[in-house]
Amino acid sequence: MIDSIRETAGRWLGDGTIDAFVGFRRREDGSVVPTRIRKAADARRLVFGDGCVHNLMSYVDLGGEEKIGLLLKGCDGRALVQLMIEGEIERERVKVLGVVCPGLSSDGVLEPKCEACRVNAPPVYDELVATDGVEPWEREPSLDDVAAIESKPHPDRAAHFASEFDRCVRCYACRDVCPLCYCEECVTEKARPQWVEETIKPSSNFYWHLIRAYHLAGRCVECGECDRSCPVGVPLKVLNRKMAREVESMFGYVPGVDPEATPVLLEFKEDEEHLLCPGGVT
Amino acid sequence: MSSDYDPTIVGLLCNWCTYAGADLAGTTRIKHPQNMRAIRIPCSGRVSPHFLFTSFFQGADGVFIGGCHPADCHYTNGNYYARRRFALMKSLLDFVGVEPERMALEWVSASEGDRFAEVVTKFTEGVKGLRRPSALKRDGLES
Ligand code: SF4
Ligand code: SF4
Repeated sequence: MIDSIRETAGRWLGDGTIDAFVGFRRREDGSVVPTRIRKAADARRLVFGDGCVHNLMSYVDLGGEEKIGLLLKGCDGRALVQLMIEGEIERERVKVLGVVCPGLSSDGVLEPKCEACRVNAPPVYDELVATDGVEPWEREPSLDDVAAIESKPHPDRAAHFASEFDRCVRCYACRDVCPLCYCEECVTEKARPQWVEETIKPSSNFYWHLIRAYHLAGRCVECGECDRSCPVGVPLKVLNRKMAREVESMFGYVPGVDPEATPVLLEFKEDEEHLLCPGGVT
Repeated sequence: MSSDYDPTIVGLLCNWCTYAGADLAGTTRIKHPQNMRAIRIPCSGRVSPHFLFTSFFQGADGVFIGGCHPADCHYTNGNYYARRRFALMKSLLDFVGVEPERMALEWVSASEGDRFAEVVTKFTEGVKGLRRPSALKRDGLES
């Protein structure tokens, strides 16, 4: 498989189809990091396998002009499609080398993001690299993490999240790594009005996590990069997964699947009164 | 918290309907609980998640949004967008510990003073029935 990744990336760079290719390379210490190459000769350094967890869509300059080649797993591919749905990137700007992802492990244990994976091959691609013995699949992952929260009474839920958010150092790594958090000016940076206080304290941390989850509702593709990037283990993905299930049950929408879809909050149906119940007064 | 729990409720009321309905309820002296602080907004579609979140962190026990009935929005379809957004805000807040009784989006027209009193009474009673303050108050989180 690695030969066909190298061959394709090299071919695209060599014949000028793309200006740059984003994939992975191995460092001398054995770790794997994302890399951007511009010369066909460098394609021989590309690798794929355990450690290639990063969502490479985070490395695409949405406003740019360059034509970019991308190595995309299922999760990364959904991010691309959701960005297309939101009009942030033209399909023509990227050449996609899809991989049928085997699921990635670290020290023999499947990565948490892969446990929660819904689709292991990108929904759109120009070429697809097969992995020995791995078929493309779609599945409905367990929602145990969401159910565990929902089994608690409301005051305990609030106490649980307050203690988890309390650790947040507001580095915004979760936001910056997210391929869908692309606002030029994040609400955390706005001063007039200042909805989210900058000071690190229980209420402002809680606020930050609410607005982050809301802004990603109907958009998050559950690649799990937020969880993976947090230096202090704040459970971010569970909020996104909860909202993803709500969006799916309310609107039948799964982000990052159908490039022709309309973002859920940019449309409505006239007969959606059921959305207000239960809990509505009347 | 005992039954004399006196919750603070923020009302985000559309200028073209519910706000006038509230006015009508007042001028025609229809009895309803006085827990709500009414804030006039141009349309239920103006309600951003910040309005709910900020209300709760700053001390609200409940947030009531009033908009024009479906098909009657002054701006054609602001209330339809509001309905989708509200459903998501509510499920998120519910998930992190705000009881669903503390949030409502209701349709009340300018001529429905009686309906205004009715839905606000039911909402207020629902919040009172929880018998405890909302867990999201800043003062509570920071004590
Ligand atoms: S989340 Fe799915 S597609 Fe992404 S790396 Fe894990 S198994 Fe592969
Ligand atoms: S990465 Fe973790 S610590 Fe940093 S802002 Fe996000 S949740 Fe907070």
